[in-house]
Amino acid sequence: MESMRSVGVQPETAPPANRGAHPAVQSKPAILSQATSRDPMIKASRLRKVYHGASEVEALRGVDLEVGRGEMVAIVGPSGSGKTTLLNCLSGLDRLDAGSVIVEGADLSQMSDRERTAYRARHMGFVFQAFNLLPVLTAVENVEIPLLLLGLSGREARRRSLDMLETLGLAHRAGHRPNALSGGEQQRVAVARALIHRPAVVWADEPTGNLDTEVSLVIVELLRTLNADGQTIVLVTHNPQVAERAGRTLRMRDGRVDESPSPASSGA
Amino acid sequence: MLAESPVIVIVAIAVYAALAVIALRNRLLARVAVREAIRRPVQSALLIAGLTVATGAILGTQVWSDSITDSFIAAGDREWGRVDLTVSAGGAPFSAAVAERLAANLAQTSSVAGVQAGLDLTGSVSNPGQELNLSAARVVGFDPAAQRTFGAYTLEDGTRTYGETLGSREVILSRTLADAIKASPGDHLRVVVNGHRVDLTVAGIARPEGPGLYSLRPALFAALPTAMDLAGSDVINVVRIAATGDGEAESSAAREAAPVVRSLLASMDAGPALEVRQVKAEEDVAFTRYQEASHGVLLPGSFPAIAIGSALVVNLILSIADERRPRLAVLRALGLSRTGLVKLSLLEGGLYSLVAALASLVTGALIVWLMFAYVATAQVGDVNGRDIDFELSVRSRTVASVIALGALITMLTVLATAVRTSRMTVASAIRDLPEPEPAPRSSWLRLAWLVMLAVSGVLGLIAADPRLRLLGGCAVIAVAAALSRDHVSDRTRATVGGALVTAWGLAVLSSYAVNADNLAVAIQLDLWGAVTAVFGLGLIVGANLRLLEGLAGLLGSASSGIRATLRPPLAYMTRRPIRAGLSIGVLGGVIAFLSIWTLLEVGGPDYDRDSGGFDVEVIAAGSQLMTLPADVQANVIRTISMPTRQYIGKEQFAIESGVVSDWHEQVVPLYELSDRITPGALPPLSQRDGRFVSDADAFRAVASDPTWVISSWTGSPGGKVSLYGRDGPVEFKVAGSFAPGLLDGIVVSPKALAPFAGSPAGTTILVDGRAGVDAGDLALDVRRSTFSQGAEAVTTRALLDRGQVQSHTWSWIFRLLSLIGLVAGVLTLGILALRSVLERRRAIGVLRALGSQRRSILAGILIEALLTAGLAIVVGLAAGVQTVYFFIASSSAAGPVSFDPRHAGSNLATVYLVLMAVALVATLGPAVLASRLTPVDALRQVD
Repeated sequence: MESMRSVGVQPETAPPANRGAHPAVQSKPAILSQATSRDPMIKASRLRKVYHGASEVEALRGVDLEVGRGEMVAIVGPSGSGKTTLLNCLSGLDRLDAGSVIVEGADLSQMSDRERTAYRARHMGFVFQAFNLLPVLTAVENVEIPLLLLGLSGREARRRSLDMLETLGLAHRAGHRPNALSGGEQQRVAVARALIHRPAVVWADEPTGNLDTEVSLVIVELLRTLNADGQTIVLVTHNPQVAERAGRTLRMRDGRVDESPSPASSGA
Repeated sequence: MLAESPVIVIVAIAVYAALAVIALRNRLLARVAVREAIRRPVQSALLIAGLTVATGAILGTQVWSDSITDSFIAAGDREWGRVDLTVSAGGAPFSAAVAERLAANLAQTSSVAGVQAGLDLTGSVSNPGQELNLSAARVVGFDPAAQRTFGAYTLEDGTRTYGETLGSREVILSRTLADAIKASPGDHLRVVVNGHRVDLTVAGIARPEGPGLYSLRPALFAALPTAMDLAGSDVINVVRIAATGDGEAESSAAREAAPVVRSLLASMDAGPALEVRQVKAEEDVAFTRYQEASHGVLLPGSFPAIAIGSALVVNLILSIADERRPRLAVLRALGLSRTGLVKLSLLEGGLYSLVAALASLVTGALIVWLMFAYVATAQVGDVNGRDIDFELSVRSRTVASVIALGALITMLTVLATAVRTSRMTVASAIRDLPEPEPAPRSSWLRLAWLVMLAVSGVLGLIAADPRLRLLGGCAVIAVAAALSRDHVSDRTRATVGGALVTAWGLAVLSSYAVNADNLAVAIQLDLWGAVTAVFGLGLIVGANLRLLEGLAGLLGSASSGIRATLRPPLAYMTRRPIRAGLSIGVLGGVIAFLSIWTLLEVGGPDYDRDSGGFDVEVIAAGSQLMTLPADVQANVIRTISMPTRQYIGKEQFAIESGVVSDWHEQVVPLYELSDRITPGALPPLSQRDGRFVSDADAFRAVASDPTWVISSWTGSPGGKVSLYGRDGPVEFKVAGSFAPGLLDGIVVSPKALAPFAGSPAGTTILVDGRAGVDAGDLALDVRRSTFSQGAEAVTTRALLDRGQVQSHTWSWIFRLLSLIGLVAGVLTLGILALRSVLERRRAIGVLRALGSQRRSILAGILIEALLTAGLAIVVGLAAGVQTVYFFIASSSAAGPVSFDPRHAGSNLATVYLVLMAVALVATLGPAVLASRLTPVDALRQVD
């Protein structure tokens, strides 16, 4: 697999005010190496994932890839090709059967569940197809979850979350619960939640899958704007319009990555 | 009976027939329903197990109630054997010629099978060989020549006898008497009756069947000449008459014979006021009434189990509906109509309810077994001296009705839930998203319902019955709350509504003046008040759960980790107030009843106070032993001797509220309060009629007025007790009673005792031992030195303990019923937690993905369950304390009520601690399950 070049934009990964309060990240695990701005943000080697059921399905068959800092990468492919599995393994949501994933210098494959969880809380943001907002929490409460998990004070978490919602044009909906929001608004809240703690990487699994075309484009433009500000984003999509707005497109087939340059990357 | 109704069975059959028709006409729906039911066998098994709890609880209490009824009715039959009618004068003697003339005159009467002269006496029986005696044994004199109609005694060696082979001074013993004094055939006994001492020989031990069970008490059966020797005269005191036929025919013949016998007696000049009694029928009625009264007490006792069981059904069905929602939405999207969806849910629910109804036979049997085990432990089998066997009685009609009722409760819940689910927004449901906010709409049905409720409420308010006033006020408050829907917030409505309901309940309870005539209503009102208090407080708590978030915020300011952990579970609790409030309210109701039973549970007796300082009670039923032998006197400070008559005959009592028992056969010790006894010398009264300011006052009234008595036997202060004297019924007013167990009979003045002069005479002595003398040793010494007179000496401590047995049994039964409710309640908590895990699977996945650790998820689920249990305890405790307060206030109208707050408080604390611990254990499984969910699995669509 050809190594990916960095787009050269350093995302802001400064910790929240009292980051040390989160017990899981108080001490740096030994498996964390010192990452530099020249290193890729994400480096995956020979990823293999097998699902054991009535019959074994090898979802990932030795995937290698790198994602540079500040890149926006779209993973596309037919259903069952392993897109979501790859995203889950790269983000530490799922365990690997073989291979390694290094995100910002930390080897996720060597971490325990507790360490991976703490690492996700600190360095990653997620946007899901079904929004996955907690239905009993208001928009602003949903957004502040990551900050609370990182140990930020309630007051500070609320202030930052309201700022973020205002940035995304949702300040007037801050006190509403998800069932009172439109699909586009829910997904924007989800994006706000993914970004609120300034993660190193935002993972988005079919972020426009539940939205109509018009709203999908709004969300994609939002992601592009964030990417332009240096945010590393990896997204899985079926939508060609979304994929073509990413800096680079990785095509998956039968558990393998088949890289094809997108117009955006070729033109860069 | 609550559930013994064929209508319920018919309705249930009709429901299942309709479901069968639906299944046959909608094969696809039937197939989907079956597949859904078997898709997750473990989940289905859990659901069915939960559904069985409600049915099992109802079945258990109903079968137990039936068993008591049938055991008592059978006991009534066994007690009298073939004797249907008796002719007696309250134990007073009369000529044997009466029996002869009745026999001659009734010989041709088709309804009469036989007539027998007899003697029913009480005396002391000693077995010198074993140095054992039994005071107050029944002595039954029978006429062997007429015994054939009344059945043969079957002896232990298998021989059958009508008594004609009994030699002079030979007797047959009942098994219970033989066991009590370890007597065997050939043993020589010493029997003292009415001061006459006679030595007898045991000819055989009767098997407990037929006439060998007569009186159901330890008894000695003697041929009439021997019995007359014992009585010291040649008179009799009873004529026994057997009716023809068996069962219903026998009852009918007895009814027919009674007036014939009465008219014959009227034509004779028989001496004392002879009375004809249909004894077996009386016993049936008395036992049935007793059972009905017990059932009336049992029903509120079983309420927690039934209520929480039903709530469990609702919770289970709701959780299944939530879990099915996305799949059902797909079917709706594919074209299934709302009606079709309801049918599908009903078909699936029908399968569960059918299997659960059958499986509830197991839970019901388990509950019955537990109840019987408790009853056996508490020895309730000894009912007023009778040895009654409690036998399991499973009536097919009861079982069928309860199972049908359980199935119908489940099906009704399924129907309501299915209708609610069918209103889903398909687009949201398919993606498992919450329902959008519904648009407000007006409804004529709602308006009509409100008008009806308002009218009923106003009618209730102006009613004289406080129970109706209580309900009426609640209805009016509900209407006001409903009408203010668009004007104030839901939270304000619920808070104000709950406060008003609680306050209204308190107002009605405190303004109701309790007196001698309305005690029963007052106690019922207390229980209804408990329900309204739970409802009102549940509403307040449910509406203000948000305060918990404020508290969590305070905690969060100390630790942000706590805030992150508490936020999701608290949000789930506080922002679904109806669901959380319902859980808290139902569990709170169970805890309220458990608290009531726990607070009112009889503590141990206060031995020093209740015994009045006396250590031993000496009962010499057959002899007038007025002083203790000199060798015992050295260890004694003081004694009180009371001449005692052993009344054998019918008795009736009325409690203060006016409920009257039927006449029934009793053996009652009557203690004479002679002038020699100063009122202050006797033990203190544990209850006293409100008209007397002190015990001395009450004793003075008994001494001076023959209509007043102290009765520790039946009736209660403020009530009445009637016996049948030489000249007919004599009614006494109960001025007070001793602690149960002590002087277990009726204390009367010599004048009041006069109508019962024909009853066997004996003595009762209360003995106060010297300091340092052990009461048990003193009782043993007294027993040895008075053995020849057949006296029995028992420590007052043992008597007081014995007196608590029945109270403890009822306490245990109520606690058991409440515990069954509590087990169901804790199961509900566990199931709610499981439901939370299923329902919030995706939310848990999100939290885990965002960085929430496993322990946070685990803690969240546990905290939610413990908060629910904790708030339910607050609601239940408040309602329970209110009820107990008013209950004690009401009961105080009948005399001082013993209540030990320290004992009650420690009991409650134990119960609540156990509750919290069990709730923790019940929730731990689902919480661990939730914490082990991987983010990927939790976020993946599992269907």
